[in-house]
Amino acid sequence: MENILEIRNLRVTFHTDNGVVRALNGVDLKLRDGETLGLVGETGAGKTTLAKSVMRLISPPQGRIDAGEILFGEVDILKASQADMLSIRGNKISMIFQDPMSALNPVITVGEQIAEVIREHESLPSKEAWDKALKMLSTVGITADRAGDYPHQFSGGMKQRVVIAIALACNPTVLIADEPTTALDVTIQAQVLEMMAELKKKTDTATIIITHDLGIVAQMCESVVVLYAGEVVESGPVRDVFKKTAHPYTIGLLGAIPKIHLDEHRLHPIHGLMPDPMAPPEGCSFHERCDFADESCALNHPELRIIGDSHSVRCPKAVSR
Amino acid sequence: MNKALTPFEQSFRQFKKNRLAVAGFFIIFLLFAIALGTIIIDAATNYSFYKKYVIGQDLTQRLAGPGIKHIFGCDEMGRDLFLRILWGTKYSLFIGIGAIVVSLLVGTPFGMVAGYYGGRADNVIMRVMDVILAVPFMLLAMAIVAALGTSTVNLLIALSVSGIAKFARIARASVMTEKDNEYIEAAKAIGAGDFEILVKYILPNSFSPNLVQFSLGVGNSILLVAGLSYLGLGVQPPNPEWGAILTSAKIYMRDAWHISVFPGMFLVVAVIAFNLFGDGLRDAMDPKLKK
Amino acid sequence: MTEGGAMQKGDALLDVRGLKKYFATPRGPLQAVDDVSFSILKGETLGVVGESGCGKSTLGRTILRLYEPTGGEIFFDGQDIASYDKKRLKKLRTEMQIIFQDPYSSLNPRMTVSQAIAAPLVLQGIFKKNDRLGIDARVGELMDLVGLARRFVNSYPHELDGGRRQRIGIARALSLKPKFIVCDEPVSALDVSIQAQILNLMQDLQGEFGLTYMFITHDMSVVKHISDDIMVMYMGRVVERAKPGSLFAAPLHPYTRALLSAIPIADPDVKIRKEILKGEISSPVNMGPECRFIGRCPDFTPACIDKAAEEKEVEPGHFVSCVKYDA
Repeated sequence: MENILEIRNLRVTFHTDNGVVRALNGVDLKLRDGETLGLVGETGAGKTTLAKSVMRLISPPQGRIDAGEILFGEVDILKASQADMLSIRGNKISMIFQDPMSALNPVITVGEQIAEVIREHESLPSKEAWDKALKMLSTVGITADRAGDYPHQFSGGMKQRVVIAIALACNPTVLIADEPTTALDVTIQAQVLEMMAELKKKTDTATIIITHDLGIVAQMCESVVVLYAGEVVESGPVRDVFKKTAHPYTIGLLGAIPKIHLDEHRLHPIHGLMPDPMAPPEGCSFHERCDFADESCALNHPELRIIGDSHSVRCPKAVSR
Repeated sequence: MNKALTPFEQSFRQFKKNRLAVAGFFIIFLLFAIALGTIIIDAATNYSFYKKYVIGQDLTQRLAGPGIKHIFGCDEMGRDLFLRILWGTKYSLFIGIGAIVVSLLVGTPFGMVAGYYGGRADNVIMRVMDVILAVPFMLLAMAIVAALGTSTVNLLIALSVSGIAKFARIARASVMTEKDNEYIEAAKAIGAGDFEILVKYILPNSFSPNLVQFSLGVGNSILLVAGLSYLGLGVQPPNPEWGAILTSAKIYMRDAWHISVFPGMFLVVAVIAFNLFGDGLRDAMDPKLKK
Repeated sequence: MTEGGAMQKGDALLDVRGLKKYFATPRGPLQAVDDVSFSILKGETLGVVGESGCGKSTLGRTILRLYEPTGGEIFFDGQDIASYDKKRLKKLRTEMQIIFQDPYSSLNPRMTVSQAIAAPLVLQGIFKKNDRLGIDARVGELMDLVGLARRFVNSYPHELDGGRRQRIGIARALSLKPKFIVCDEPVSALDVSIQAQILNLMQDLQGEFGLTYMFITHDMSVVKHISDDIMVMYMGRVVERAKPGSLFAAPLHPYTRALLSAIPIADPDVKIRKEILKGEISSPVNMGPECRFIGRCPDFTPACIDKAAEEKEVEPGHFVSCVKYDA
């Protein structure tokens, strides 16, 4: 399969009064056609910055993209013109945000909000756009008679469905879902995830799911990228990353979550905190918290290296298992 | 960062970064210095300087324009305008600030009680405040002064009444947003009573909107003192209140522009200074706005 | 983990009977907590799970008398605290404490770490206000206990990360040496690696001081990990109570089954057959006796409308409220 989106050496910084925040420090990522990729990391790892960079929503003067390429087919998104970007954003690459409440306009009916997106990107007559909006609503499991309702008349789960309908209205080639179910209850999350999985089967849209929930990645994704302090520390097929976990941070993350299907008496937290993004440590960014680190880890910054079939890890000690 | 600093020092650092606010602060400082200076001179000379130069007339200099002898020129009685403006500072400053302090001290507790307890207390207090706000500000002040007579104390009362309602409203709104925070419940859970919660937890966190209102209010209040005096209900001539000077200036507007312009300029600068200072203070005091 | 006969061994520290908390709304009473009964043994942890709006947080706050109960009894150490007046309530605060979900909003932004931890000590008269040395010593001791470095003693909450803030919240709750702590989603706002640190800390403290916890959460895996007993709530009512082992192995109530199957498991090889529920949770306003789950229940029968399901002990220690298990 060919790569539909490829990010190379992406570096993003935010310039604040107190110093420079290094949000992304050379991120590489490949999304293949039709693939679902999980982007995992904790608060401050750079997940949302990465998504915003792809949509080119990093706003100067604070936010700056210092280096890198984001290749979407032939186009480098970072070099595309404003006009090209408008036709890509929301049309070819769509994004779902975490909070469905603030993603919808409270004074416009949901049907109209979907139709508007369709009209904007496909020059369809008003009537046809509306019909298509109704169709989109039914694909996300909302009956057409609710198209005339306003967002506040919907519950959280239903709103997120509307947001997904808007994102998918123009048949995008890439969908970026930023924590799409974090604000929802478990049973509602299950509904939305199942709907997303089913839509995926139908449309085959390449999808990036950004989440902190490893369970969602294990159940929904084919490949996974683990971010730590603005760097990819491990990436590869889901089975490899979960079963032949190589990077100490990923091992730590998996050890830290309480397991529902296993019995254990004590959790194994990762000690310490993520490094200050204004003053990243020398050497490996994880060495201060790592149980396997030695002196060399504090000196040399490790490179990402391949240890198995497209399974790569940023740790010199990790071995293929 | 700045771990060892007290909150006051942190606020001060933040405040210093805001140049306009610092400028406002210096102007206010200057106004205070002028006001105190005139009071000291009066006390030291037992008002003889005041009587001779500030209210003493010299008709030979009537409506004299600005020049070397009188840098702002003279008014219709030949009094030096510069001196009169300096001597007028204290009225604007002290009555203006005094009225706002009274409004703040009376209005804030009412608003806090209304917002914290809600229900009946809220209804009674806020309906009274609504009635006060329903009467036009100036009209209310005029009515009070007209009824009680013109004295400094009455002027303070007149100016503070409508401010009370404003402060009560703002305090109520900020208390209502603050009281839903979990740290209020945490305080209840450790056994804190209502008074303790209001004073130690809610007041410090809901005070910054009142502070902004305070600084904007001082500017407004200075204008109002001038306004009432202009209408003849405030500080009485020959005392050199800025508004009172403007009243007598209006008939000479064509022949002696300087009598209107200079006091007007002082009014504008004083009001702007308080507003800039207040905005800077708000930004500096809020710990959440830092970074 | 204690199994089976634990009920006889320990004494109940908390015994709640028929507790109700209704809130007035324009559409009628919101039955946030409706006839809830349970007990917690000394030194154990009761996990309370449910989705948003199920009444679990209201339950915790009503037990602490932060909300006035509408009806029912709360026996704490044998005393019915539901009828306590203000004065006795203040004293009671030293025995029952609470840790909140949001480490951002649960700390007064204008109090330093030491002020926040010292506030209960001064308020309850354990230390005189001017006894700086005594207070500082105790604050330092508490900071060590919760693993908060002493250099943060004069920091403000906004200068600290979520995990450290939560440690302040825990230290504040521990400062009065309580017997019982309501933990209201204490780790939900934290990242997984920090979450594990806090959960371990809470277990250590429980062991050290013999604390009794009521642990409220929406996270099934956390509740399984930390609880001796689990209580599942739905729209103000308890639907099932059991030991974690039997609850996770054999959930009885249709809601519990759906809830458990909805959790995404962090292992690509474990695939659970999902029972996806229809519909959404509504709020329990002006409800009759009927089962709260009828709108979404896959096993719905007409009998569910007529009467409230009694709570039955299907197996020793495993209680369920569903007409399926009647007779």
